[in-house]
Amino acid sequence: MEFYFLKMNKRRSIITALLLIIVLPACRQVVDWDLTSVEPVLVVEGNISTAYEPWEIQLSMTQDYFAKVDPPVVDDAFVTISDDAGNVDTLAHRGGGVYVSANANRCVPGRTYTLTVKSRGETYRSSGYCREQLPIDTLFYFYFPEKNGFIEPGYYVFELAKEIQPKGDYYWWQIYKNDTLQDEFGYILDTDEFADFSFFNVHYDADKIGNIDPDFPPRPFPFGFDPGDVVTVEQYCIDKSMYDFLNETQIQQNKAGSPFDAPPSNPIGNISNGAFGYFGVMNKESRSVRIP
Amino acid sequence: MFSISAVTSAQKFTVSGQVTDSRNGEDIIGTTVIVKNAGLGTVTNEYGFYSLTIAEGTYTLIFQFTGYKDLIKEVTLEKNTVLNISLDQDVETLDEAVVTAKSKIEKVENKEISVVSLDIKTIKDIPVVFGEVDVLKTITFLPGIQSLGEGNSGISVRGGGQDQNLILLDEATVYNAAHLLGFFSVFNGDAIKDLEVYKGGIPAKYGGRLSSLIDIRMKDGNNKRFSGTGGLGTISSRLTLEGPIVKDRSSFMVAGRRSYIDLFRPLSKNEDIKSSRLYFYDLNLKANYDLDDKNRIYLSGYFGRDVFGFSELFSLNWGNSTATLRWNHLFSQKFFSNLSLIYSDFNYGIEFKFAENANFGSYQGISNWSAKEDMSYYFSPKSRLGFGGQFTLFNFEPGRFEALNAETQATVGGAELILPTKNALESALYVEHKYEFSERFNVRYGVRLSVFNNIGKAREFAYVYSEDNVPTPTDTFQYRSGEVYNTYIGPEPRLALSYNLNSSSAIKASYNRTFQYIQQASNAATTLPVDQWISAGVNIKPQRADQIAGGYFRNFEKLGLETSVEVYYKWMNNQLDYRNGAALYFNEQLDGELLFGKAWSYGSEFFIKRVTGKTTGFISYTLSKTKRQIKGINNGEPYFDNNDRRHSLSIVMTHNFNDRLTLSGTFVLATGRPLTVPVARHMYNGKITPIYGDRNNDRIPSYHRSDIGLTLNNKKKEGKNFRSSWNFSIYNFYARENPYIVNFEQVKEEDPVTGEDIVVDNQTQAVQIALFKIIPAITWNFTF
Repeated sequence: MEFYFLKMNKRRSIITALLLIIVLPACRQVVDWDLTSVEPVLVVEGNISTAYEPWEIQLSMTQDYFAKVDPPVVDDAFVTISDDAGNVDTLAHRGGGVYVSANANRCVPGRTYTLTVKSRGETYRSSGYCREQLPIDTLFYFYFPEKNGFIEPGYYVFELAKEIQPKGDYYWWQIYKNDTLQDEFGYILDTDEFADFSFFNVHYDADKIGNIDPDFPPRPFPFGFDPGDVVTVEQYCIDKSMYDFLNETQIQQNKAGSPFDAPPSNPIGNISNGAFGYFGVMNKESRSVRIP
Repeated sequence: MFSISAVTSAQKFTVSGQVTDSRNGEDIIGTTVIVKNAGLGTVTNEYGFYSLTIAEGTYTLIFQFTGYKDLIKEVTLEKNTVLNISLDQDVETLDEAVVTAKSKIEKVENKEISVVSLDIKTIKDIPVVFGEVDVLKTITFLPGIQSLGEGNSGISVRGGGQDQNLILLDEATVYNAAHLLGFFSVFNGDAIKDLEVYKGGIPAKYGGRLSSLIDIRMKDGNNKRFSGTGGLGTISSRLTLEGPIVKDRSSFMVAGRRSYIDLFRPLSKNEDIKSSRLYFYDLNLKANYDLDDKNRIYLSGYFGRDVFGFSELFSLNWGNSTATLRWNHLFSQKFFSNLSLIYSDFNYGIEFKFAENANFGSYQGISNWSAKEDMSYYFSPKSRLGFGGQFTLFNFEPGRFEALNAETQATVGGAELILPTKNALESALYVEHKYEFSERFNVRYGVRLSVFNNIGKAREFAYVYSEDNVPTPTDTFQYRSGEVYNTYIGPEPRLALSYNLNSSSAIKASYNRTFQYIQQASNAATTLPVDQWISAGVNIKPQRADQIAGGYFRNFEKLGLETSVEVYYKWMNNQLDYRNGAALYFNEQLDGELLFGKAWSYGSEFFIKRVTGKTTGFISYTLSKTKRQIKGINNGEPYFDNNDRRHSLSIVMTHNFNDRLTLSGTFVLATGRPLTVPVARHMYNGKITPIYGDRNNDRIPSYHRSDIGLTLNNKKKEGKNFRSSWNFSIYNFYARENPYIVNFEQVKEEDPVTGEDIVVDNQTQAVQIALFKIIPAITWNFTF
């Protein structure tokens, strides 16, 4: 099922993983390890989008790697989000380090949004540009009957869209099965940078939608569904730095420290003044389909 | 009388010839030829050739080589004389059951600084993992040569990178010496005659890599009689056949090896294993022909391949091919020439089949054609001049992505995506003079001038960089086919000095500068076959190293001990690293992802070797430090290189109980490799995300291991050539779990209801994974 991740730039980890699986009955054990401590730093997490909803920003602090408690929250900060049209929104602390806008809001494509956090005498900033979105033409499904090593039998959902030219578009999808986020493969990200095929199925013939040949299916999202499931696809148009950030974060969260791996590095966020995390400005498109 | 003698002493004549093994006609490389009572001598070259030009007279020549009986020859020089020599192996003949070569101490004056070698016999006695004789793994027991880890054929010489070793098999570059992703090296021990490693003081004849030259030579083949060698091992089986084509003039050698774990696959009940493929094979071929006294031709080739896959869904295969055609020619008895035409190729492919309409392949490779001329002029036993040149034309194939069937082509809207190939020419001219000022003091000095040209057709980019080193191409340059659009010139001075304090001790020193124009793109601690070779060019400057070394060599003849201490310092410039998040695969703009800096390594190497008696072996200890400083990594501060190991100790011992039974044992202890570990963590999207500290801010625990091996020679039957032996070995016999991978991860627990692993909130741990615990192996070997 992991065909989704078998992109060419992942070849190294695939090969190592396969080798380790096939050849070696490796011996695994938990070990004691002394790590050094560093001063805690602010962590910002929050995305705003073109969907009309209240804006939320989560503030916390970093902690020791082997800490056994929840990360410390920041409850005394002053948080605003402003745009380049002169609108300013102040977010109030709701509890647990979460700051929420008083009203529902939506981003306007073409505008730049700036987050400002003032906490404990320091000011942190971040801004992002709201991009144009690629509309979902059609959301449909087909039944894939066989198990072939990568794909389990089941209903698979795909989308058709017209590709925006030129290249340089970055997308993130969140797929829900009856309101439950399907996250077993982490972030579902794609770009048209590498080639002209992605989850948009731009080359797929729309006439075939009603009558999919299982030997030549379109590229579906990598989750199997059952009859009666309502599948919601949320499609976010993001920028390259957010795409890289999510990708890197995912790699670091699942890092394998083998000699074949690239040395670990901290994902590059977009918050100033040394804070970790990311403030995302996204264009959101959402569509649902019910498997009959 | 007196006046005649004065005249004749001015008249000089040359005695030259070939030194071979009397049993099989193999050339003996490095035989010492001593002119008794004259304080003169020479050493045979890599084709067994020697030449001595001395005054008219009668001399006693002594031919000496470790493992062979000394041969003493009277020669009266009244004219130029050809004297070909066959040496007999020095065999302890108790019951004729075995051939045990008796070793001799190697004279300190014949040793070169920073050069190490192990003879094939010793390599075969040393126990190795799965009992698979492995020349590359075994040399890592020597000082200054560090294994990059278990399950890895990569080696680091004096802190250098894995791709900084020039590995030559009969002069052809072997780009990837790994079978099974590095568990074994590609060299079949039965096909190898000789191996030499230059860690420094590299002669001007060789160039192209920064850190070392690993010169491996195949056997020529027995020109006396048809014979064979082979074995059945735990992992693979081997067969080598050799024999005369025309007796005493021409011979051939064919050596094949194939792994066979996959042959047991159908027996497995596991479907995944049943449908998987995992094997390697290799083939060495060689033939030579003596045209006449002045001309000899050698043809050698290597072909090896690894195949690895799961049913139709996934497959990976890679391999090297090399071919070398050599022509030895004597212009005169004093003037030796060798011309080589060489081809090398390395390529790999990965193929995926997700569905009928999603069947892709991705391919990469490097190949080169090379012409090389090496000439030696023997002025006198004290003075020898070497000169020559080499031209190498490289072809880089950075990536080809193909839709493998019509259905897939229809889906992706095209048949293939090809990154443009690149071409380059590396040329070099060299001259080197070896001169003995006195019996005590000799010097080898020379210079190599290397020139590197990037040649069109090509497309190159110029980049601007963001604060975080993210490149954006700003300009594109197109070059016509055949257009030389970029040139680097590298003068490489080389120097080696030797001063004999007395017959048993000497001091030596060397300096060399080396340039390296091609390298492997990898940002991990070790390279894999899939890491592509890239060339110096518009955006990548060639690597450059300067190294000085000094050493003291001392023999204790009575104890049968050879000892040495060497110190070195190596400066490496234009070292590459990659920005965080760099895309190393299928990226035409890979040269935009680079960060530049320098590295340096220094250390001392101690070596004690016992060569005589029933118990032989060596102890080597290296104390060294290797650091890097790269702009854009670690805030530009120096950090420990991935190849940094503070301490490295190896002990190798072999005991011959009698002619039938040999016991050998090894012990290695080395500082763990550097590792980057977290210093804090934070939550992102509900998941614990580690925050890493400075690059290589910690180390994995020390590595240590001990292996034992036992060789039992079966009795030889009267009047038969067939002999066989059993080899039993236990790798890591005290079952040390050496960490191979260290992960920092969230604790997971099995959900009692669903049986799935679920993450425990706020619980993190360090986990280590070891590759091998204890590995016994049996091999049956035979010769006839």
